[in-house]
Amino acid sequence: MKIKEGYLLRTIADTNIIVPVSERVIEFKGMIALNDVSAEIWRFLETEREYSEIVDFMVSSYDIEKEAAEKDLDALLKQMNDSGVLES
Amino acid sequence: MKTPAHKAEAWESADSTFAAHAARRRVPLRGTFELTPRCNFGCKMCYIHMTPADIASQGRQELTAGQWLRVARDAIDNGTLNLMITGGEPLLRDDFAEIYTEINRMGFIIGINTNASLVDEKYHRLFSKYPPSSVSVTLYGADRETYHSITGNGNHFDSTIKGLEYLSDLPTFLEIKATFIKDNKDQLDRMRETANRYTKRFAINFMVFKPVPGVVSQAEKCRLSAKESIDIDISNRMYYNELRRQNKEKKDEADKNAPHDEDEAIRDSKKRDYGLDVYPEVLTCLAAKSAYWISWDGRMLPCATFDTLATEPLKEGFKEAWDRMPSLFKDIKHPQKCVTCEYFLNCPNCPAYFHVETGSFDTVSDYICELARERNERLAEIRNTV
Ligand code: SF4
Repeated sequence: MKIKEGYLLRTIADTNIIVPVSERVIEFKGMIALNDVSAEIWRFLETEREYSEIVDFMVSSYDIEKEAAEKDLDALLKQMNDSGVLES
Repeated sequence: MKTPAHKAEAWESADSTFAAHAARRRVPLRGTFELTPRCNFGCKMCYIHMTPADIASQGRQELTAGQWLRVARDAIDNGTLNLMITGGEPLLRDDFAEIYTEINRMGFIIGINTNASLVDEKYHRLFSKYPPSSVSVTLYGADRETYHSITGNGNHFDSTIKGLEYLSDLPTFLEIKATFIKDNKDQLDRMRETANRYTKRFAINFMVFKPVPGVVSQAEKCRLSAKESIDIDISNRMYYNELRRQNKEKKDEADKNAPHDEDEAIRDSKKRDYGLDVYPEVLTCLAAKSAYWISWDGRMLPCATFDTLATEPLKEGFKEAWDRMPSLFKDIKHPQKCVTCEYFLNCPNCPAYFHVETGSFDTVSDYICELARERNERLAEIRNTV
């Protein structure tokens, strides 16, 4: 999975915000603000990744259990899917 | 499904508190680019419109497309999210599409102010491909005669309507703002009806200021008296109150569109929530706190009306220009008469308005004072009779 082209992650006033650009403005379904960890995962997902790869990245970067990483990741992926920012 | 228009609305409401958050961190969140002071309309009350001859006589020049893009990149680097593109009439620039397309890729949430009359097939194609999040159109009347008398040409009415048809077809949040002067003061209902054919989002403006330096206008001759202004304001409120009463099931929508009255406690807390208590407090809005205006010739102003207090982003650097802006206000204070006035918090007593009206930042303008008093007294009367 991968973030579609045309979405920018911007950090403004200590806040991570996703901004659609050009054609993406038409299909974007809501504003997304991300915490710092989610923003890191967003950056990781700017390149094509497997689910297991992202979980490994989270476990090694944040020193958390695999189950906790999967739970957080599932919630984030749901938000991303609802907003239509992931390539299917 | 949520359309971009809904999304723009969500941005708009989320925006106020984010703007306050940005103001506390002194981030220039909201910018306005005044691409040109030229306009295809010649509105007699316009405080900002200049002809090419006016521009030449001042020895100033509009920024080139390349300069606008440089300012835009600097704005992105410094944290600007909401960008309003305005004029004059911004669509009048031959290179509008070039500037807009490029700016659109940078990561702004874009709004456009326009009189709509130049929106044709070509602009419709451009905006369909790259929709702005919002477009705000100023409406001057409900027929050709009124457009003739205000803008100088009756055909402008037809081209405005054509433009509105194109704009209402876009996945964009469309707002129509009616400006009132003596010529159209009896057209509130008809103008609102005209606007409502294209959008439910209708706003009114009756404040018309004397022109900024270098601009000639007939503002003083044609603007409404305080009584006439507040008659229109109240009539518009009554319309929305009636709408609310009649359409209980549509209450939310009417609420959103209608102007609201606020009591002082709410206004005080809003002052904090909206970042209005951030330095320079003498400005009762977010100008120079998280908002700025780049004039057509490249100066950074707190807003359009503060035309005499400016920094120079293209010469001193964007960040330096932004950081230096609050210092321009250090000697400006509210007039003593305002500080002790019961209407202080519910009055457009901005030093910029005082300056355009009286030539001094701290001299009370009769025009503004009368408007504020009339409005407060009339609204109090209505509250007492309900
Ligand atoms: S009503 Fe007049 S005196 Fe009172 S705050 Fe407004 S401008 Fe100042």
